[in-house]
Amino acid sequence: MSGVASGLRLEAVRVDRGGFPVVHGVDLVAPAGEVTVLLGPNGAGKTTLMEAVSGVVRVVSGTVNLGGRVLTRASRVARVRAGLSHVEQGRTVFADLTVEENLEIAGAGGYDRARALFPELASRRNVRAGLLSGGEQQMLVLARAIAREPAMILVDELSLGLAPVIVKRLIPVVRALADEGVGVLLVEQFAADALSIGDSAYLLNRGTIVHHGPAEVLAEQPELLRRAYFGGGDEPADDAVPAYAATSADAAVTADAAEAATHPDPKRG
Amino acid sequence: MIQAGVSGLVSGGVYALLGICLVLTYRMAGVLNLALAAVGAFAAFAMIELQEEGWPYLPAVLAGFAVGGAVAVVLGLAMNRWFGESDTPTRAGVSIAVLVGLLALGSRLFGGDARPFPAILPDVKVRIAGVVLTAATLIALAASVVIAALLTAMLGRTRTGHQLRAVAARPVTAELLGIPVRQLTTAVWAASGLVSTGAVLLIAPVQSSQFSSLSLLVLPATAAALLGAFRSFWLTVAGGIGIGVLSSLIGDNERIAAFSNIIPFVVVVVVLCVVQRREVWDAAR
Ligand SMILES: Nc1ncnc2c1ncn2[C@@H]1O[C@H](COP(=O)(O)OP(=O)(O)OP(=O)(O)O)[C@@H](O)[C@H]1O
Ligand SMILES: [Mg+2]
Repeated sequence: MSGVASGLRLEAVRVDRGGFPVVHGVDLVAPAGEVTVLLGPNGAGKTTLMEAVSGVVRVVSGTVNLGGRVLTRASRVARVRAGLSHVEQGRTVFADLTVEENLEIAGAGGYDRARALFPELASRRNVRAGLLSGGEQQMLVLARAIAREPAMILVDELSLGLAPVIVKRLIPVVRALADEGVGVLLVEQFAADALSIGDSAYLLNRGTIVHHGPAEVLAEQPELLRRAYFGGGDEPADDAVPAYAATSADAAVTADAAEAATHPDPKRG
Repeated sequence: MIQAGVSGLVSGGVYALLGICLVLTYRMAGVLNLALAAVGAFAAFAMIELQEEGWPYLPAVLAGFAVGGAVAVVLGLAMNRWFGESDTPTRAGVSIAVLVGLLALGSRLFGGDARPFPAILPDVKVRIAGVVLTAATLIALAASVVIAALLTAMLGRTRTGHQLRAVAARPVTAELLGIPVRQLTTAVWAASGLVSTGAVLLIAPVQSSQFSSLSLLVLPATAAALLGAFRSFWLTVAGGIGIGVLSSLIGDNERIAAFSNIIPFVVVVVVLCVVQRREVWDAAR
């Protein structure tokens, strides 16, 4: 089976939020066995697009196709059964269940696999998830999604509020999943980190895809990113470019501060 | 005096059962369901109507339970459908509207008068250490303790229980993990309807059995649930039994009998004040 046929394919997907169009006719292909990176500034509609794929919000028009099956109107649970897994923005652990219980409720056959990928969690098995550090919570959320043995996994802002060292720990796990044949759609604010493990990349701005191509091309040409983010013409001053074009290491100080601020309370994004 | 307290055990057990249901739907579905006892009363009156139609006893009782479970499920799904995004006070308000609606519908369908409820249990009395306990008392107490134990164990130790807690905390995330949210929520509401029906059927033969007075059993049950902080099934059971016994003792004393319905709430207010003061105290340190 070719990667594209068994992966995710979006055609002319339009999504509204609060009655206003937020995603306008997006075409996107995320093949199995590849990491497809989705980049874009705040409010571009990345989360909205992912939520439309997993059924959290309704698709107004267009089609969502996973492994040859049209899921545009399917229920959330049906999409999960079809092999989709969505790691939401904001470390959505079940705070008053333990680590073990968080895995167990999702767990199907991938339970051992999930635990093997994150040996750090073994010693924390019986700790309530609300008491974990931000990094441990993000590991748990990833492990929980992996426990379902998805064919396609959507990962929204793995690094949100986490220290760079943890981002460096988590990003390769995402790559390893793809190497095993899982399709990955990755939204990430640290563009360079994401592109370094990505196969192809899409740039979303104001709900429209403004660029797509091989990940390494974008990695080598950050000015492409910048133009996409700020819409061509009026180039902003260099210091207006935020962490997007940077690596996680450049943002070390702010990320540490953010983690300190969010830990241990798992806020929703 | 002792016998008066003991005779309050049956209503205490019933308050405990209803209180358990209130805690259950509050914790698992985020709904303070003030229409709970009205649903049970509706089911109980449906049972009586069927019996008067000539249905034999057992099928009528089973049909009553089916009505209670079904009405509760419809209520739960409607809450979810139309008020799923609303906050908890709004949903409590909606449940009051449902209570008022059921009171109107009930008095229309079944009349406003008390009905003679056949005791669903044989008239067995057990004598323990000189006090007489009816079968209804024993069953109400045993059922409340057993159900509290089962629910506590299920939510704490079983996979289904953990899934229920996950659904309560983050319904969308739970669904994205493939947890069958709708089935679980339906089961919670069905359970609350069945237990509420059982509770009303236990108490109806014993006390005044108008549709309205049975529906308002939810008030002392809410007091019991408050004592359990809408969280602990065990404290709710203790609170329900305590309120039943206390009301009965007060009702037995002619000088203060008029207050027997109010006193439980005074107790609740006092307990809540003490608890909150202690929390403020703890927070201040
Ligand atoms: N519940 C909502 N109701 C109305 N508008 C919303 C809602 N959620 C998001 N929006 C709007 O939709 C747009 C896209 O938001 P979205 O969260 O999808 O962006 P994003 O690309 O994920 O941004 P970020 O990088 O900040 O996570 C924004 O303009 C936002 O204000
Ligand atoms: Mg987002």
